[in-house]
Amino acid sequence: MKRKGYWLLVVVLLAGCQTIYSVEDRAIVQILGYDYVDEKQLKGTVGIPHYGEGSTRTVEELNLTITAESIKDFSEKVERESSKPLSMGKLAVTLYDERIAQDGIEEFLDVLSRDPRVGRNIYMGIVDGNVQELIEEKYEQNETTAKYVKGVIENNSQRNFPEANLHSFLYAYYADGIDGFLPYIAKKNGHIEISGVALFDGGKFVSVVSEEDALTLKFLKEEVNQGAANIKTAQESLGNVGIEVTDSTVNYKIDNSKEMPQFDINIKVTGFINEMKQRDVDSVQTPELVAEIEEKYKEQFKERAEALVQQFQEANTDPLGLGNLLKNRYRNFDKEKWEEQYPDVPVNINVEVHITGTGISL
Amino acid sequence: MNKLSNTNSVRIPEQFLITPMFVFFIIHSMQVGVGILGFESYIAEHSGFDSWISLLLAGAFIHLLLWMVYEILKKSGGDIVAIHKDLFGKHIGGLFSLFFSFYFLLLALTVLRTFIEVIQVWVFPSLRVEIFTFVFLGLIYYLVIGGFRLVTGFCMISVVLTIPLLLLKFFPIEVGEVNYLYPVIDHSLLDFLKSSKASILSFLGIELLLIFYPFIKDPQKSIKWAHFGVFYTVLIYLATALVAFIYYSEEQLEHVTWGTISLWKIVEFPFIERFEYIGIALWVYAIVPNICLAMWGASRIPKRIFNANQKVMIVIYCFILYAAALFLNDRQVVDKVNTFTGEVGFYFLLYIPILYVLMVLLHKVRNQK
Amino acid sequence: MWKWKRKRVQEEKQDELNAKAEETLETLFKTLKKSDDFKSYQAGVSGYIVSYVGTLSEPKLLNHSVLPVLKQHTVYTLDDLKNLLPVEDLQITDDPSLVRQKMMTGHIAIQLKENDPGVLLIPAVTVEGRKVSIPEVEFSVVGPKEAFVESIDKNMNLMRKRLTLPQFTMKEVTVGKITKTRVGVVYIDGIADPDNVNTVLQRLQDIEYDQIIDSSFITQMIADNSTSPFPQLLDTERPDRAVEVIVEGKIAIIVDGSPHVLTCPTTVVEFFSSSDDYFLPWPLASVFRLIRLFAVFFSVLSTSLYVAILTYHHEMIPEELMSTIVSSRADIPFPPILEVIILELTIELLREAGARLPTKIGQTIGIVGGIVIGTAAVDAGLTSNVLLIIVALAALASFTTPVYQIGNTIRLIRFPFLLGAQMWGLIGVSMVMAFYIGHLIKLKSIGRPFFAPIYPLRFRDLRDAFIRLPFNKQSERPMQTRPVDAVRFNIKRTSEKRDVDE
Repeated sequence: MKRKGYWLLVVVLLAGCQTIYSVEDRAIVQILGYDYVDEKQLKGTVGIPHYGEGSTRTVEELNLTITAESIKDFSEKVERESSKPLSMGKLAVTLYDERIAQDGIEEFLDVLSRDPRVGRNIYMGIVDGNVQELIEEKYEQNETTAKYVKGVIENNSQRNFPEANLHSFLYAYYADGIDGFLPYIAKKNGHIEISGVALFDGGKFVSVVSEEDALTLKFLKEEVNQGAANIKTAQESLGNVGIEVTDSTVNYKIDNSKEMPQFDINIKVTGFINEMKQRDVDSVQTPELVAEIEEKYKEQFKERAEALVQQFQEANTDPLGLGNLLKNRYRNFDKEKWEEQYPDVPVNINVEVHITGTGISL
Repeated sequence: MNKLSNTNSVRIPEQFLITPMFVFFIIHSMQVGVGILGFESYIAEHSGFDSWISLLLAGAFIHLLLWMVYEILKKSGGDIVAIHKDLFGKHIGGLFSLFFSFYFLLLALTVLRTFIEVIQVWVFPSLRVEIFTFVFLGLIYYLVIGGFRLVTGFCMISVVLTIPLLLLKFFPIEVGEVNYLYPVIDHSLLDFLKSSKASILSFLGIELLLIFYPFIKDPQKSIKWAHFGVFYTVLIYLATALVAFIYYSEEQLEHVTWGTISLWKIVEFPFIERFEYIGIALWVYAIVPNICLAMWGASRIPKRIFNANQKVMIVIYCFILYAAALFLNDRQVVDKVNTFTGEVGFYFLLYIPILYVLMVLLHKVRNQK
Repeated sequence: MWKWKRKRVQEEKQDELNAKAEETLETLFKTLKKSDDFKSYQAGVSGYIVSYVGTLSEPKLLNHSVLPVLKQHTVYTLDDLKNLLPVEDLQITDDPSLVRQKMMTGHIAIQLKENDPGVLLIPAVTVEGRKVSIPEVEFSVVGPKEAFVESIDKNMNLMRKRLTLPQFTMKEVTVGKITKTRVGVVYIDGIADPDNVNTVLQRLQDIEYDQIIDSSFITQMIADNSTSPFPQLLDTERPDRAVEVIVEGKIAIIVDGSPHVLTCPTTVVEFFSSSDDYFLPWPLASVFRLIRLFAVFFSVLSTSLYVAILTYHHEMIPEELMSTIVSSRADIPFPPILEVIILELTIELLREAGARLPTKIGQTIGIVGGIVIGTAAVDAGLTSNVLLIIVALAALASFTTPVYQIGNTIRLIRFPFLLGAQMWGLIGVSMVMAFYIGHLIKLKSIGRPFFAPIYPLRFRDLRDAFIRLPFNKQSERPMQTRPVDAVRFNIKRTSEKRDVDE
């Protein structure tokens, strides 16, 4: 028994040799952004929350900005300026400026996907403007920039923007025949807004989908449970009609019988009207009106979607994953051939719109 | 024939016997080890997302082998040592049985070292391996000297405790893409066989039955439980593989070393997130019975051959494991050990049909006499 | 160890032999006379010698029934006297050791003349003891409110009146070289497994110790593994609970002088079932039982998880919780482990102090300690708010165990978990847990597995383990006790299926 006790003591002492940093002794990086300086150098900015002591519970964000030659070099240099060891474990958002994204973010992706401490649900974003300014700015909406940016992306990816995080980007980045996309973020008047979707070809930023078309991309990409669409009607009296989307499904069909594969995308949208300029509509008229709006919406949606696909093909980016779909459904997928074909592949979009309600006051 | 089974059978006192149902837990815990945490990329290497079919093929093969094992054991009524003695005589048979002992030790080593690797990669990059291994083997020693009944009990607990981890698969399914899982047979038969071989390695462990068979009360009644066990394992591997295929893209999977652990990362609850730490901690309960069973099997064989003291054998084997675990200290070597164990295990599995044929022949000859 | 035991047995036998050879009535009385409460005098017309221990025998009986007879009649033999005395259970003997034994339990000895070998023994036992009171350790709101007392006879009485069955058997064993404590083994013949009864009797007879003051001595002495922190015999102060388990086929051990009755074989789940569980409707009882079980796990694991997560796995803390935890930890000078140990020890101090003090002061100390020290420690920046809540909840949760003994175990076993957490975080906690699971599987209660019905898996016993199914689903006695007669009632008769409106 006595001997066992000694062993235990020895073990504890030996294990105690390694220095341990408990949570409050670490600098927990929550947001990380990179700016382009010149061809050799980049400028990184980190945001570390500093929690107030005792009962005050305020959070301030500390920022460190360092110019370095590589990512590795950067993390070393940051460590040198920090009083506590840096921890990437709670990283929530990483941002890149446009120039870096255009040159390719492969290297950054590699670092993020290799580190076991970094989560897979972290958000990435391409910033229209200066990343350092965006991170260092003090915002009124939230205590820290990290929380704010995270909140903005999270909230919007539930509504009008397609979902994109590190995992989904990696998924597309590695797979054949899919390209990733990320939110396109800008700082405006002391606020942060998502101003569109940044499209990638591999790891390179190539094009932007505007904010209005983001919902269309979301419809094409995934099932939408929440979203707000806006329709311009020709009738002056109706003006713009707002539709709250409650449900949508998307279905891809491929016809591979010919030389060139042909894609059919069928989308069904269900929603209700929640905004209309005209007030005094007869209840008799309502069904007709609804049918008219449905028709109008269908038309506009189709137009937009087709334009969007056109944009993808011109930029040679495939965020819809058509190539991957082809590969998974038919044998003998030839990657090179597909890449050649892609800009000219015919894509038909069929839309069905179903309006279930007109709100409670009409 | 009766005479034969009488001379060979090993009598175990009743209080050490286990009920047939527990064969389910033993077979299952022996099969599920560290492999399941990262087998997805291995099996997908040759036949991509179609490799779930090879998983089923491998599973069917294991079921067949299991049937053979039971046939062999039914004919002899004893364990592998008795069978070897019967077939090859005392000395050569003993040597063959010793190979089994070393094989189980190798299995234990692979699981132990790979798990330590997982801890080093995912939780403590600067883990003091010498201390951790020491304590861990101490735990193993404590459990194994409790005897087969204790190890069996631990197997059962481990199966129950790891069930909640299966529920976590819902998180990746939710965000995953089912669209790309279209079953197109886009690979040649050879590719399928290759990935079947890769998947068979995940199912190693039924050989242990050759040793603990005499410990089962009403052994032939346990057949269905053993098959259930294998079936359950196949099912779990299948579910794990499918979930990984849903969550990762085919090419992405090649870049993921520990598919299942990476999946746990996305699990979030309001009070806790990043589930991989809990997952790895709970995986201790899958690893411990696995090593204990292998250790028990490995130390039981010398006891049967030389009448050696099993406690002493356990201590010796623990020290061998300890030394080996310290010696294999980098990722590449651990990988090589895994591949090596896989190869060895594959040949041990192939040995079962040979044994079966020999057994059948022997019986024919004896019956004619 | 066996050798040692055997040796002890031999020695003891020799001692006894020596005593028998030497002891005569003369030496006995001589020894007794050294004590001042021993009375011996001549009485009656024939001058009989009446001797008794004054503090043990009842004077009323002597004055009313014995002395008048002695004074009125002249008798020449003890047999005549025996016929004359209006007292039951008289005995005439010339065995000095019997005389010694009887006199030491309050009998009056009458001799015809001094140093006469024949002795008439008159039972005049008076035992001072407590009245039957309400249970304090295992209190329940509903249900019987009687608790065992320190007398084996009263305790038997409490049980017998609940179990009027001729097969209800008690075997008495005397244990303790000096105290000669009466220990009763109680069971129902025809239900309890004879193997279990024999094991218990055997172990009781093998006990080598000079004193048995309480039943807890017996628990530790006959336990299968006495170094384990887990009690392997369940002790209860409720006669209803004791009877309940006896009917299930278990064996109760009553020790004279102890208000706690031991029951065995027991299982780990039994320690978490309270008698309230049977007084409430089964859905409620099941939920409360599960809550209790959760409380136990919480109590054991919460602080070690705190240490593990804060020290090693801060990635697991969600962003929203992070600010709460970090800002309460920010000005604490100690690492989490030290913080936890300080607070745990404080709580243990409070407990010990509360347990040793009289009830009223104990309560005050609890409140003063809890509130004042807690707040002061947080204000002084020695511990964090979050941890204070966790530790207090953990302490509270450990009080939910219905059996006091297991509560002590829970107090102790959390410290290895803390050690594991400090060394290897969650993996360390897991490993300690694995050790305890292995330990529990190894444990036995008088030779029956302690970890049942989990392992060996017994579905029948699981009906009354983590949850309690209704009584009509429990048609069989638990397998754990291996009852000779396993059927409680005929299930077929009670489960006739009835259609709607029939």
